[in-house]
Amino acid sequence: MKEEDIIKKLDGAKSAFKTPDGYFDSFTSRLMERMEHEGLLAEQRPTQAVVVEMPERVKAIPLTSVKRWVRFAAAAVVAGICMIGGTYLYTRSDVAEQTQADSFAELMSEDMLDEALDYELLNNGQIEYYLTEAY
Amino acid sequence: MCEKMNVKWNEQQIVEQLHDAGSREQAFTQLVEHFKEQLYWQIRRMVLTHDDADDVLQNTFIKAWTGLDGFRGDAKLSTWLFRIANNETLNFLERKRQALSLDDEAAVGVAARLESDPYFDGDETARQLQEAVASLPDKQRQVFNLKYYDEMKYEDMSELLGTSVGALKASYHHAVKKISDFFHAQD
Repeated sequence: MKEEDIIKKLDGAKSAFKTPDGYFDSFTSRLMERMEHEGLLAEQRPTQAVVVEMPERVKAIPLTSVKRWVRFAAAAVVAGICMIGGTYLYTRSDVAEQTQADSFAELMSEDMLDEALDYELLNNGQIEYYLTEAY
Repeated sequence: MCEKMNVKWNEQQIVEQLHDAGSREQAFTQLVEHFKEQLYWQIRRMVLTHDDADDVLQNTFIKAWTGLDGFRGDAKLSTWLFRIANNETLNFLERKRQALSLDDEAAVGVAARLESDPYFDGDETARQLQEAVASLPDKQRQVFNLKYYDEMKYEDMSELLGTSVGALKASYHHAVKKISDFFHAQD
């Protein structure tokens, strides 16, 4: 038998290789998924197509809402300034009064203080008594 | 992810789209759809099992994708892809040989590999044919497969393999003689 004849006799053996059902139908999608997973597709995508996602909260706030928040913030700042300023002034006058009282106490003796207190504690009747009796 | 393409194949248009970043991915999907089956069988006849053929085919297309900028359209897309598939296949077979010791190779010979592959449905003659073909040197085996299975013209084969028509004819003749001797020895 000639060599070529032997080869022709083997023709039935040509179709021995098979593939799983649907192998060729799903091949392209499996390949593209693998390439996507390995980052190969992203590497060659055009840069102008890259969209930077804005944070949701920034995108969602409408302009009117922004204006309202600006007003609230301004009011809060003014209120804060008033509170801080008031507290500062109050604290300062309190300290000044205390300092004045301390200085006054240093100048007066204890007897003088008692006498002043007595005088201060006089009621109107006592004052009238002192005046009419020519005290 | 990608639906089956029913778009008419226009090679020049595909080549242009492959060089445009905006249309590259879609054109590549069309390219895979168009050539996957042809390349699969080319690879499968060399590596024999379906799983190995699937790995090599995927790697072939990935190599093509990453090397798209190097394709200038001087050759046909089919020639370019065939060469990539060819290199991937030969590298795969070489790596496999290096990974196996001689004892291992005997243990996982052609017959054993084909028997373990659920996607080989051949009889005893088909297994013997694959054993005979597998005994050929890699390049001679390629020539035999392209002529015997794909009935490719020597001129087309010459363009694909970069070998003269005369050398290809001689290579095929040697392959047929060796296979014939293999079957005579079995009788």
